[in-house]
This record gives sequence, structure tokens and C-alpha cells, in this order.
Amino acid sequence: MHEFALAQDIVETIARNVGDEMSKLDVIHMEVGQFSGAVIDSLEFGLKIILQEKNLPAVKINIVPVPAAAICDCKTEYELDSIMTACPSCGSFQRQITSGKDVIIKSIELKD
Amino acid sequence: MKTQDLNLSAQESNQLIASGNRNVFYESGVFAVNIIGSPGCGKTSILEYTANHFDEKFAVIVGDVKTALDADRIIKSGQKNAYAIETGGGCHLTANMIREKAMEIDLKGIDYLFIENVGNLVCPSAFDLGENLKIAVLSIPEGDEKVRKYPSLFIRAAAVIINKIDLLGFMDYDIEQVKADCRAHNSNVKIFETSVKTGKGFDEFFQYLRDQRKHF
Repeated sequence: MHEFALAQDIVETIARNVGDEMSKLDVIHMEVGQFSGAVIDSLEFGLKIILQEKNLPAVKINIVPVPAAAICDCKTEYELDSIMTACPSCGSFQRQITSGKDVIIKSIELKD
Repeated sequence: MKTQDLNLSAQESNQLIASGNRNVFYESGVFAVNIIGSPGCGKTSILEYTANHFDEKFAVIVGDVKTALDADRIIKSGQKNAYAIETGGGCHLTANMIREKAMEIDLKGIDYLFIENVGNLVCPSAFDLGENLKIAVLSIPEGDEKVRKYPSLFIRAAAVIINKIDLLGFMDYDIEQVKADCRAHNSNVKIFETSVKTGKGFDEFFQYLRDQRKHF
């Protein structure tokens, strides 16, 4: 249950980037990776509470789940249903995980 | 309506402080290790053993939800340079907690900083503390499915310690499967089998720490 801490960090980061325009914040677009360790519902709940505290209860939150993907040492790129999904070409687990690890603030929309 | 692209990590605020910690540690020649494992897996026992057998200068920061019991254990074992962080309910340490606690430590006087995170396999994995090495600790009595159940830690841990290895044989624990699971999460993972009762595995673990410090 670290989603509340994440939510605080997200709101702080947005505030740092928009400065005086925080009151115009309308939508937050985010991506949550399959292996990020963050639960989307809990993160959304935490964000709503914090935004309410900041007098921004109408801000919309759009969170897109991102599946995990990897590139195998044999160069095959593939999506992982689970971490135990081996390379579909060679059956190996020798790979780099290329996406699905992070929680990203993609963009924000500000009202005029 | 105006759209502003950010493409920032949700941990941006934590990450900025973690990067600052990493710089401070680097300038002081301190190699920092973040140790993550379940409650009861033996993190503190490993550090007690380390206090008595790792012939290097180091300090320990121990995070717990309540009490300084673990830091006291490490102090009693002979390592006076141990500091407690009581999170008061928080399920993980943050870079800022480490930044504040590190101010109490004579960083110039040590070469290693071990950070024992709050016992938890989920939340600590998401917070960079400014460490150079993230180590996951497993233990035999916990059962052999932990790696698959907690991918966010095991895809990030550079090394895994399988502790209480002296109990292997008394329990149904498929250690080869556990090692295969670790490698599925991180194909470059370094795996150690340790026991604080017999000392097994610690020479290799200490040598690994020295080798890693040479290259950081």
C-alpha cells in the first residue's frame, strides 16, 4: 500500500511543473506498468483524496495500464503475460524488460 | 485547453532526493546497499553476522514501522554505527528519510552503508533510496513461491540472498525452481545461499560487495 505515497509524489511533481497554473489543472494522464507494483484503483483513490485536499476535486484522472514487454538476447521482442512467460522464439529468460516497470505521468491538460 | 507533456516518473520527487543521496554517497566513497525482504527473513541477522565478520568500515540504517529493536540488536552485536528509522506506519523507506538520517552519520569514516528496509516485498521495491545495489532476501521457511508472487522486487534486485539455507532439507523447498524464477525476473541476478548459523555463503557475499564497490 504505497500508492498514497506515490499519489503525493505525483501531485507534488505536477505542481512543481505547472507552478501558478495548478488551479487550471483539468486532467492527469498516467501509465501504470504491469510490474510497477502499484495498484491502479488504490493509486486513483489516493490521487482523488489529495486533489480534494488541494481544492481540486474536479480533476479527472486517466490511468492506462501498460503491459510488460521484453527483448530477448535472441533479439525477439515480446509481451509478457506474466513474469514466467519465456521468449516465444527460443524459450529463454535471458532478456531485458523494456516496459511495464514504471508509473509515469504522461501529460496533463490545463483549462484556459 | 492546453496539453502539457511531462513523461515523468511518478516517483520524480523521491527520485530527485535519491539522486542527491547517491551523489553524496559517491563523493564520500560510500557504497550503499538497500536490503529488502519479508518480516522474519533474516535481514537483521544477516547484518548482525556482517557486523562480526565483514572486515570493512560501514554503518547501518534500519527501517521499521515501530521500535528501534533491530538497530539495537545490531549495536549489541558490535556495530555501534547503527541507526533506526521508525516510519510510524509507513510501509517503506523513502529517499528523504535516508537523506535526513545520513546527516547523523560520519560518511567520510565509512566505505559501506547498509540500509535494512521495512519488512515488505512490495512497497520498498518502488522507492529508490540512492543506493548502488538493491538486494532481495528470501528464506527457506517462507516457502518457494515468493519470487513469482512479488515480481516488482525481483525484476529490480541485482542480487538475491536465499537465507536460512541450513533449514533446506527440513522443508519442502525447491531451491532450483527458486533460482530459475530469480533468473526469469533478472537474467543477470547474482544468487547467494547463506546461513548465519553456519556462516555458509558469507565469504562469497562479502567478496561480491567488495567487487561491486570497486566498480561503482
